[in-house]
Formats: sequence, structure tokens, C-alpha cells
Amino acid sequence: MKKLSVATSLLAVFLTSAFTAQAHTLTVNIDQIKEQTGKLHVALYRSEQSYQQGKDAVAAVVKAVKGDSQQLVFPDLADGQYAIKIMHDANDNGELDRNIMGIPSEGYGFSNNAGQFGPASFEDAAFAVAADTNLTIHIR
Amino acid sequence: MDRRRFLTAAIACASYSALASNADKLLAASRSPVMAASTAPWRKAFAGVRADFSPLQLHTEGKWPADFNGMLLRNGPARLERAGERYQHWFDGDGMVQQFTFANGKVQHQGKFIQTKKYLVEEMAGAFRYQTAGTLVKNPLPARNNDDLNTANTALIPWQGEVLALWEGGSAHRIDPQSLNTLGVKDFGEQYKQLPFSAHPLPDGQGGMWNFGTWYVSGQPLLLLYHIGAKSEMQRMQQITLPQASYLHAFSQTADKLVFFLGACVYEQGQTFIDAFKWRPELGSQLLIIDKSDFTQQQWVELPAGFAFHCGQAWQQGGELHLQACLYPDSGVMLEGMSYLLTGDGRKQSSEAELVTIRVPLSNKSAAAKIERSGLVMEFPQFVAGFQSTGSAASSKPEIAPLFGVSGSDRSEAGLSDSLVRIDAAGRQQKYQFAAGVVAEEPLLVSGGQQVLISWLDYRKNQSGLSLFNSHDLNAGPVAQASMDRMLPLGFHGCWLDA
Repeated sequence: MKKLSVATSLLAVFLTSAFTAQAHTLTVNIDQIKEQTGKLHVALYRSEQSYQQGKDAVAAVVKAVKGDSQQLVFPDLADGQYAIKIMHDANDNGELDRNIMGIPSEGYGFSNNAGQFGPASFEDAAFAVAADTNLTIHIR
Repeated sequence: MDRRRFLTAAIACASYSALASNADKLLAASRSPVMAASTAPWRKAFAGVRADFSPLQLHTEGKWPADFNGMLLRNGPARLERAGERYQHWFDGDGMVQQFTFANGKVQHQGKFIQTKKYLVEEMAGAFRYQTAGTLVKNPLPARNNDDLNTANTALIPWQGEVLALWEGGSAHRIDPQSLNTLGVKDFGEQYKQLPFSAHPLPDGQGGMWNFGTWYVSGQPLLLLYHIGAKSEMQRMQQITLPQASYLHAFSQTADKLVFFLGACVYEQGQTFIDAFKWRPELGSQLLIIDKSDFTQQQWVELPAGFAFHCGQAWQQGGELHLQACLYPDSGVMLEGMSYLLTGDGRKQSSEAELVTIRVPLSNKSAAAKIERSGLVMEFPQFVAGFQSTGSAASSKPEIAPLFGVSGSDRSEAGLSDSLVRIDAAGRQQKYQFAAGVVAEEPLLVSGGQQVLISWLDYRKNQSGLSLFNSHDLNAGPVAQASMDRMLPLGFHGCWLDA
């Protein structure tokens, strides 16, 4: 009887966790890659603080550019708000090249294609993941 | 921490974050674009064009000199409408180079759009995709940097066997003067890419040039001052914080000073770049005088409120600095007049520019500046460049070259220029008024200053053309003319290249 009780409890915990923390898959299509060289640096954030500071990304991927578009898949994501930053390091020097005033000369992009001129805020770039999700980010 | 590393730091450095926060507000598309179109008689002058112009020989009359061989190149906003969406300000259109080739008494025209990134993307899309200086377009693409918005539509200068097509908010574009093909985006070094670069650089007398850009969207009004060497190398750059974010289009020079007129039209906030500029007469204007040898040596002189696009000559004489400027009493011409030309139905009564000479004491820095008025309405001032003769500190009697420009008369339906004018150092004026319906563009001095070549548009006859004058006698009228049944969009600035 006691064994059955433990087993039932474990099943209940498993079922509860399965319903409250379901894993989702995020598919990110990146297009309008202007220069067919270098690497894409893609970072997925889950809080405004980490997004602003560029720290503690949920996932960070570096992918060689092969064509003017690319698809990335982020599995096992919990429900929540996320935002993505992408840098296209076309000359592969590990940096987003900028001029003396700090203006980028290499490509970049944000989720929701936010930020009309310059970086997007977390609020503008944030999107909800509550199921499997597809989104497209244009490299500007 | 290496803050330039992407995955460990935000994309934005501090200045760029500031830029973004302001620029996002600036460019926020919170209103639908108004698609008003003019029904005025001169509307064809601002209709714009949709394709390049293939070569066409002009009809000539009068006495074109047998040895008058070379090329007139002009730049201006040419694409003003796509997919039913029409720009609302003259500054907005995509640049196009108009080339007039003179050879053996014949004149031929062709024109080509400058292949900026913006132009290529929008050609492919069949619609406007980027925000412009004065129009909020539908569904704009986000911009990587200011060069995504670059229309390259303002001026042309010869540079190292090529021609540079200049805007003012971003890079110059390299153009082949013969084929008019766009060769690429010009930079003056890796860290100087995409910097704002005015359409009116000045020669440094050693094969290089002085130029500047203004950078106001970071929240701090910055003047970026450049000295570029003959090999396109950035020799010096200085950031100067201005007391007010004045719209700044051109500057002038003496032998040892650079001179800026900062008017009372200042950048604040708005829905577009143009809309962000406000007329603030309470701020007044200022003259900024900078030593060429040391950009940190600056003198500021307060002036009454005014507005100017263009300067003429500057010189030093008797302990004073003199600056010729085409001075408007307010900034209505840019904030309203240039929109009304594209959208209005009647003549907009925006203020006109009067040629003035501003005199500033250099030795007594507390003494007030004086403004001498000429009584002559003038824009697009031109003179034979020769700053060595326009006064150094040691020179007591500088030679002041006659100034040429265009002027508008009451007869002009659009309030646009319809006359070619000349004024000499003694204030003597000459004038040639074109026929009704003709809009006169920037004149250029050619043949060592002996002749003036001016382009024009006749919106009543649906023609464009050129007139050649003896520069000493405008009153006598043109000595030769060339015309064609082809309407070119009105432009801004150009250059002459000898054959």
C-alpha cells in the first residue's frame, strides 16, 4: 500500500510538472543577410536586465553564414517572454564593427524586427513563447 | 570586460543607445503619411522621374565657343514618388546625376540615378522602404545606420579622377564621371565610415579638403570637423559641442580660419528629421570661427536670429573677419517652403535670402558684430575659388571676387529663382531675368571665371536647357543656349569638369 502511495505521488508530481513547465520549440528564420561572409551571433534572452547587459543568455549560437538566410532552432524553452539579438560579424573579427561615433557598419537584427534606427528596447523586441513558435528576423 | 564583445555586452555602446532612444522617438511612425500633391503650374518641376535618361543631343543656338569642351554634372532629388506614395519635402528624393557633355560645339545630355543602398532596395521592392528627411513612409524597414537612408542627392565634387555625390547625413558615393556608374561608398578610413559629411567641402589648397558633419540625434549637439588629405586620409577630426543644434549646411574659409554660421533653426524632436527642426528666434544666431591649424582654438560671436544654407567668401581685413552669407530672416524656406513646392497649389510666401556681409572684430572679442545688407536677393552663391587672395591675417587689402547666384522676382509664380545675378565688391549689381515659366538653377563659373554656365527648366515649354554668359556682362544676356524637349527635375548643386 505504501509503495502504491509513493508511486501515485511521483506520478502526480510528474504530471503536474509536465503541465506547468511544458517545453516549446522556437524556430528563428533569419533573412536579408547582405554579406555572404563571416558568422551570425545569435543570443536569446529572457529578461530585460540580461538583454540590456548582454549577460546570461538562455541560448547563444554562433553560426557560419551560408547564403542570405538561415534557420535556427531553440528546443526545450519554458513558457515566457523572450527577446533576440543578432549580430552579423561579416569580417569574422568577433566584433560588431562601428565607426568613431559608435554607429555599426556590420549587420544586426532584433526579434520583432524592432528598433527603427538603432538598437531595440527589450519591450519592443520581446515576444511570448507559450507554444511552439516561429519568427523571422531581417538582418538590416 | 571587453564591452565590444557581442555575447557579453549589449550591441549598443552608450552613445549608440542614446542615439537609438532619440532616433526611435524621432522616427516613430505615429501618423500616416499625407499624400498631398501639388496642382500648381510648376508641379512638373517636382514630378520627379522614374528611369535613367538615355543620351540626347540638345538643340543649340548662339555662339558656343569652339574650345568650350568639358562636362557639367549636376545632382538633385529625382525620384519623388513610388507606388502612389509621394514625398513631402524636396530633400527626400533619390539623387540623380545629370551630365551635359560639350564637345566640338555639340551638347549631349544623359542622366543616371545614383545606386545607393536605399535606391536599390526600393527599386527591388517597387515601393519606398526607408524613412527620409521629411516624409514618413508606410511600413519602413529598420535602418542599419544613417547610410541606409542616404539619398546622395545634394552635390557633386571632383575627387581623384572620380566624382563624389554628396548628401549631408552620411557617406559620399563614388561616381564615374563618364559613365555615371556608381562605383561604391566612399570612406576616409575604417573608423570614419558612415559619418555625416556635408555637401559643401572646401579645398585646402594642397589637394585635400576641409569638411564637417553635424550629429544631433545623440542628444548632444556635435559638430564633427574633418581635414582630409589628398590621398583620402583623415588627417584630423575634432568633435565640437555646439551651444545650439543649428541646421548647418555649408561653411566658408579664410586663409587660416574656418567660419560657420549657426542659425536659430535648431534640432529638437519631431516625427521626421525636418519636423524636428524648430525656429527659435529667442536663441539668436552665432558665428563660429575655428583656427585651421588648431581646431580647439574657437571664437564664438553672437548674432541676431537668422537662417542660412550657403556662405560666400570669407576674408580678414583690418582686424575683422568678413563673411558673405545668403541670410534668411527665418527658416520658413526649409521648414515649410520646400514642402509647399511639392504639395502646395499656390505661391508660398516663405522668406527670401538676402546677400549680407557679416563683420566680426577678431582683436576685440567683446565688440559686437555688424551685418551689412546688400539689398540683393540671392541663393546658390558662386565665386572663383581662391582663398589665398581673400585675405590672411597679414593681408591688409584682400581681393574680393564678384559673387554670382540666382534670384527670384515677383514675376516668379513659384517663388523660385528666375534670374542670374552678379554683385562685385563695390556692390555693383548685374542681372539677367529669364522668361516667364523658367526656373534658374545654380550657376557655375567656367573657363577660369570668364563665363557663367547656368541650367534651367522651362515648365511652360516642357524643356530643360543651359545658358552661357560672359561673366563680366550678364546684362547683355546669354551668348549661347542649348535646350531639349526633356524635363529634368530641379536640382541643387553641380560641378564643371574640363575636357
